[in-house]
Amino acid sequence: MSGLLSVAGLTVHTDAGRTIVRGLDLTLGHGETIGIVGESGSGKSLSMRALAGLLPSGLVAGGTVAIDGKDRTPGQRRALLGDRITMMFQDPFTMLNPLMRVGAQVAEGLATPSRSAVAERLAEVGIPDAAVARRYPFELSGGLRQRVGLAAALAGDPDILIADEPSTALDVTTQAEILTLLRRAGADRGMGLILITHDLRLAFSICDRVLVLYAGGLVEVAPTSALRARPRHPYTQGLLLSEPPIDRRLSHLHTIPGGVPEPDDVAGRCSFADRCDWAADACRAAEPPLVMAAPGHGSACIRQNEIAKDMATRRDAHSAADIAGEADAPSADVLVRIEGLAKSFGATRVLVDIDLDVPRGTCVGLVGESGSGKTTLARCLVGLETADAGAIEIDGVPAPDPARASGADIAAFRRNVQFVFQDPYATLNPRHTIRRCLTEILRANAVPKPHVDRMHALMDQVGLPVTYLDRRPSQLSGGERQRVAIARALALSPRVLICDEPVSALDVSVQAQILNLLTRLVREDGLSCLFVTHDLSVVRQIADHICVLQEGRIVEAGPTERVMRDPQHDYTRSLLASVPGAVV
Amino acid sequence: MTGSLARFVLWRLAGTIPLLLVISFLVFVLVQLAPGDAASALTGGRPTSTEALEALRAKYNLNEPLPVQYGLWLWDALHLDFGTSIQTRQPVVQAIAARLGLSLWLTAYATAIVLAFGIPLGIAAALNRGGRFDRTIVTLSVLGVSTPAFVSGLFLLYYLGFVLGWFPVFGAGRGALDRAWHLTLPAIALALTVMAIVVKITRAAVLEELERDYIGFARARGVSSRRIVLHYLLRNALVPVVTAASVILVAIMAGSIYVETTFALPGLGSLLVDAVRQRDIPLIQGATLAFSVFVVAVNLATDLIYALIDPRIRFAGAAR
Amino acid sequence: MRRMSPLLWIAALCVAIILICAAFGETVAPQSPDTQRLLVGDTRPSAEFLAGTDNLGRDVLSRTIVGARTAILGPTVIALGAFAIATLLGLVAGYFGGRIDGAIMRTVDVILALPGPLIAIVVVGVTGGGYWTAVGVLTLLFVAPDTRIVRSAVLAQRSQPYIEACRIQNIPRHRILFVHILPNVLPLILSYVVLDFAFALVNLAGLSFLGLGVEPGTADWGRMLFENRQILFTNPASVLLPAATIVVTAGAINMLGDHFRERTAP
Repeated sequence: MSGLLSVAGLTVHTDAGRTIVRGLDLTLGHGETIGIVGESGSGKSLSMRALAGLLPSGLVAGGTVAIDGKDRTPGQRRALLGDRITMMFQDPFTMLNPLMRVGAQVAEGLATPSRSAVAERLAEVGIPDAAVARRYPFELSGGLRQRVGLAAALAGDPDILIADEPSTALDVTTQAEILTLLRRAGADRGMGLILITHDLRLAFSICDRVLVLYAGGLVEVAPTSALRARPRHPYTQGLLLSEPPIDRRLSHLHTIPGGVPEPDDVAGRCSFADRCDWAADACRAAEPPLVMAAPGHGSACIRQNEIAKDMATRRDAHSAADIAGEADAPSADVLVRIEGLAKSFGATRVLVDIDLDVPRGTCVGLVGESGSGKTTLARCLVGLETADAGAIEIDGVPAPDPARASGADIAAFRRNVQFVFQDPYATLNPRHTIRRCLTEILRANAVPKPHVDRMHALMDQVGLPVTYLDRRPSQLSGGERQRVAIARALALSPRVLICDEPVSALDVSVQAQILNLLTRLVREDGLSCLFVTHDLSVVRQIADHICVLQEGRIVEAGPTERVMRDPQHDYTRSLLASVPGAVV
Repeated sequence: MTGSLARFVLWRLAGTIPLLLVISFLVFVLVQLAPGDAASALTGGRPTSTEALEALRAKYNLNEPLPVQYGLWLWDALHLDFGTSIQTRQPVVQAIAARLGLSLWLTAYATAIVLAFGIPLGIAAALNRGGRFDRTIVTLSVLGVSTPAFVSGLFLLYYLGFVLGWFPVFGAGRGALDRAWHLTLPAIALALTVMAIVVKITRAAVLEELERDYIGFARARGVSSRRIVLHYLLRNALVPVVTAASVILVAIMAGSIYVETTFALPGLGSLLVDAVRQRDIPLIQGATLAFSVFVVAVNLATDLIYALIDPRIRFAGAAR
Repeated sequence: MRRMSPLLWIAALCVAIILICAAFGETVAPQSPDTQRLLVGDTRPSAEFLAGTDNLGRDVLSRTIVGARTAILGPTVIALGAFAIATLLGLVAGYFGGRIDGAIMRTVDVILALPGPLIAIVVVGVTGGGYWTAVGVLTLLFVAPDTRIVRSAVLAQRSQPYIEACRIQNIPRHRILFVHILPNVLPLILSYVVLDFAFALVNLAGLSFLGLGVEPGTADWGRMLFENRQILFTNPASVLLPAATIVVTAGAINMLGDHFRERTAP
């Protein structure tokens, strides 16, 4: 149970006094894997850095941390780095010294560095080729770099390994491999593994126990099976239900209204009360303590016993929720037709002979990993890239050739197809109010005045209050900015909307809001949509038809249900198998 | 490994030739800028007979069309014949050669001071970020950047040369040690401004590197601070410093012109200034070209060092 | 303006004083800067002449005060002029790319490869031009590095989604350049303008120090260094005062420029 690591009341503050983490308790035993799960602003990353003594300057940690039963100060914890406790970071592309050969970096942690020892460590993480040790990081792929990082972290044979979002930057297939490696390394070495992630399903797939953080505090801790089956905190349940399921399509995704608050703003009461369906006055009176309902299962909800039954009912209702009807057979009414599209960047062939149709009033999902060419295809459709060969036709009108067509033709064509970008924080001009942004577009496209009505209608359509028109992007959250981006895209009443990973940068609960919005636009407003993503569960929820892209080629296409349940191509099968928690 | 490096070297060498041609053309064209007729410019404004003027015109090919003049001049230049100085009637090449040694000495001395003090100070300041040492260094470096070589030269000349008498106040001295003693004040004056720039750049580079993930990951694996500074920070932070080397060099070169004037040193810089004052066109052309070739050569050298430090450049350059 | 250290406030004060001297030099100065007292010649500091006189008997302090004018005017023109041109070139090169970008940047590279101060010395000397010739030459020379700065700022903005969105929504190019990109790079540009000013000041003074640039007899800091160098050992104040003023002015401006650059950098 205890033994290896024991943390009590861990806090993190800025020098100025702003709270980031309010009192975290946790225990870790040898050979155990625990998950720290939270959305942005939960403090999951910083709390673990505090644990390791690696806080950036300007932040101060408090509380007690005991390793092997002995209390250690932050300075003492730092002295143990590499030897007893190690941390691995998120981005494999920046984690390694770019000017040092990878073998040398692994060797740094070894007691007796030698070429054979390094080769052994590389083999342990699934790199059998010893020649890799002579390479520089920039010569290796992201997956290989992550493995090297793991080898370097394990070189000192630490007892505790903290892995911060170890697979977020990787493809789904590589992700699965890295996670398996981590799990195995922990088990083989009797090492305690702490996995930090925002993805509950990921945590469930390899962790023994899971801790859920919200707004800097621990709201629930339980063994995986218990947490999955019977969450006792409304936030955990909300998080669970918001995650788009991989195995079926819901007509409506569960969302948690509102956004994550600052820890200081909710001090002295339940941090989740403002967004909770079961909040009562008592919840706002004092900060709820963590109460153990069952062995190892604690929840920071004072009403957990009262509402347990109600929560269970909700869960059951959700599982039985209407499964959106199977998409009708593809109608002959095709809005977007792509034939023989090809594109190369220099010597690399990014798209090869793409044939794709988007029927009117449907959403087509374009699925692929990084390098598959899905973003390039999306950009070709709106004219941000020009294809080398092939034809694009929207509503019977062929795409104009940028070299020869007139400005008016290009403008007219563009009005029919609009784009939503991935990064909500770079998608709007930071200096313009929303009103100014929309007015400019309407004016540039000679939309007759008055514009006010149109702008109000757009805000309604995306579910934002009209008062937001006079706000600037810095005053909006990520989800709200993405809604504005959608409103902006709809300003010219396009027939088809191209969305390039529009929810990948958002928290799960916010993601669900945007997906519901897009589904509504397709269902009720008759919009057609091409949805590009790498996330299979997301595409399951939103797309009627699916196209799977591998290295520039479409390897499988068809109705979503059919492709997901009965994949024909090996690549599709491997993608589905790699999803964390996939039912094999 | 050496193959790609060799290819990189040749590629860069080839690239400097068009640049040198452009520079040589600009230098050549300078003669057109002088007010009045080119021939009278060449006489330095002294009264001359018409026959003498005609002879000058013939000698300097002034009756030919411009491109031909340039071609002839370039041909001579490649043979290291820049004509004769209007003042001294001495071949330009001789005049330059006599002065070149001292200027190179001075430049090398100043560069050594800059690198030996500038880089360590910059690194130390960054590692002490926010502390008193760092803040002092930052303020001093701002002052340093604002103190041009001629200003620092004058202050040093007065206080250390005249008042305290530690160093001679003019001349270049004879013999290696004496020369070094004579050149110390000018070298320091020259080095101060540039050192401030190097401190700034190094400090900024190290600060940026310190933020990087790979430093954090190295710490997280228990790599010693000493190793992190030497093998992680230093190599990576030096990259921007080397990139800025050409800026540094131009600054030292420009400064040397002022410093040689201040301390009455018979170097290439003071030669150029005198030539400019006297409108001694052939000498100006020769000296300017010499300076420019030097700058281009050093830029090439820094590119090579850059390629040695950062393997990514080598691979990218050769793959073309 | 909020979080400025005491040192920065001192810098701002210095700049204010210099600006006043530049505008109202003759009124502020205790003596007339040009009155020659040939019988007096160079003298050490005294009650009447706080910094002594130069070898023509002119009051050093008054000349230093009035000299602020040439120290401010020229660099202002250089900094603003160079950046105005550079902004246009940088916007065009950065946004349109392709051959225009290639042509502009190739020219910029050639200019950057030339030793700038050297070119300035040679051109100003050979043409026999005065103060404004020097200003013109320096402006042209500064255009090169400034264009680089503007161009890279523009490139950073151009690939941003919000700019691509403008293209997709048929916003005309000139609006994208001037209404969207320019305002977002302007703060960065302005902070570099300040730094350019300090650099121009130093370069211009350098030219005067060599006897080039300003007309003989003008009250100019660099020129004073040139003229008074001969009496450095008899009246050091005649040299060290204008020298110190150069450092203080350039230093104050550099400090403020650095501060603003840090505030506006992404």
